[in-house]
Amino acid sequence: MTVADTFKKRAHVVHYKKDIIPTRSQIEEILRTALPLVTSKQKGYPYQVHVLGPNAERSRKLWNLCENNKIDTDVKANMGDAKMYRSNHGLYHMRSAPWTLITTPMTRNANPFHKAKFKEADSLWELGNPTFVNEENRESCAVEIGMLAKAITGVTLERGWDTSYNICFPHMKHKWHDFPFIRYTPTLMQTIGKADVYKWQQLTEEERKLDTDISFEKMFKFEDDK
Amino acid sequence: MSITDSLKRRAHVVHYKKDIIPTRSQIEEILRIGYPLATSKQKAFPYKAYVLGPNESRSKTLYNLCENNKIEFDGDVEEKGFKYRANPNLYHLATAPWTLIFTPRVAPGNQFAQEQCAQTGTKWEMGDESFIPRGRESWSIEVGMIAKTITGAVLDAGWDTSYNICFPKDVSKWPKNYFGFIKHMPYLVQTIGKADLYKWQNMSEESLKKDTCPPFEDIFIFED
Repeated sequence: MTVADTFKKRAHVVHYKKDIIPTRSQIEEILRTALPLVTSKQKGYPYQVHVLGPNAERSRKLWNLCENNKIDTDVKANMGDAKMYRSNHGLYHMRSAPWTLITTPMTRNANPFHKAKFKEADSLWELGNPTFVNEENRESCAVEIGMLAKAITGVTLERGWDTSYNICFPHMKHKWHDFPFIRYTPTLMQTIGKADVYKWQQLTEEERKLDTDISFEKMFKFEDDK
Repeated sequence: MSITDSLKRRAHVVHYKKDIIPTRSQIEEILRIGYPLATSKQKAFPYKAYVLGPNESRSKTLYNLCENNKIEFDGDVEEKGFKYRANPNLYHLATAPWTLIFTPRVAPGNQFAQEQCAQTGTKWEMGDESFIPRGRESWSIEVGMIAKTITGAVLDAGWDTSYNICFPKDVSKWPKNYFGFIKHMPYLVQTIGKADLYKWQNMSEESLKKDTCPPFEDIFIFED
């Protein structure tokens, strides 16, 4: 089986099953398998993943936090007419997810190899600085978090489970007061479980035809062909 | 073969071979496999990749750009009594036959997304160039994801790949003769080719022992 065979099984989840739930040890095995499949600049891994298990009330709070963020965004844009309001189906997976990963930036010390190299070269190790990690490095860190999420996705799918992502949530830390373990604003949320309904199953055939990806040619520009 | 077997073969490249080079059609096939395996919020895909083929002078220019970025960051280390050493982790840029440069893309919604936004009065942000600075963090995640699916396709095809996120953040510093197409600061540079030397082969046994990853428990915190 190729990497493609595995990844193409992923589909966005609308609802997870409530009666078929991965155990803690199954989740740990997925994460332990995925972590060595990713890399990090100078082995810094300047992020942390908070792993939340089954808790319907907490999942509902998370969903509310994210749905309210969508409402806030539309209000700020002078849009979001209350008469037209419809909750976002793309966020429903948050509500029924048995397992939720919340990834945030995190400070890290250099490993012994890089500590020595940085000293020898009089170079600054920035990942130990909370301000740098939380404010200046978030974009580079997000690239690595995306890679980890995809590795976790691959292993999750191979084990016969489903997974979905969410990047719509408040980017102000004070709004996360119900989740006191969050020290830095999250970068990504990922849910894992067994899908009951996928997004594509909720779309009509006509809608699926309209919900296109961008073309290969718009995505990849072969600069030397010009 | 499991996904673990595929992805664990990735190793950071120091030098690529000059005599074994993927053809344009092989690269296109890899990208056509990797692309549909990635996902994007509301299928916006607010990024694109410039695909640069074999061109030694351009690759060397890109390497110099990135190495100079490091030098600029550290300042004149020799003046302070330290010995300047080029960063071997950037060498892959100099010999890479193929280089992908991911940058932001203004992304109008597809017809379905446009209809949904109209029906619900929701704002579509990705079609607005002025939103790019605010969207960069979220879109970087998606770039990381596509880089990983491309990595899988590269490894399955028997090639090697490496990444670079150390480059000048100021677009005006990218030489116009080779990189005039770059309008917004890139997210990621990814190289593809056949490795001649991996980073782990370039390190002593002692250094390899010291070059550790953080333990699993530092990365994943089971909150319950």
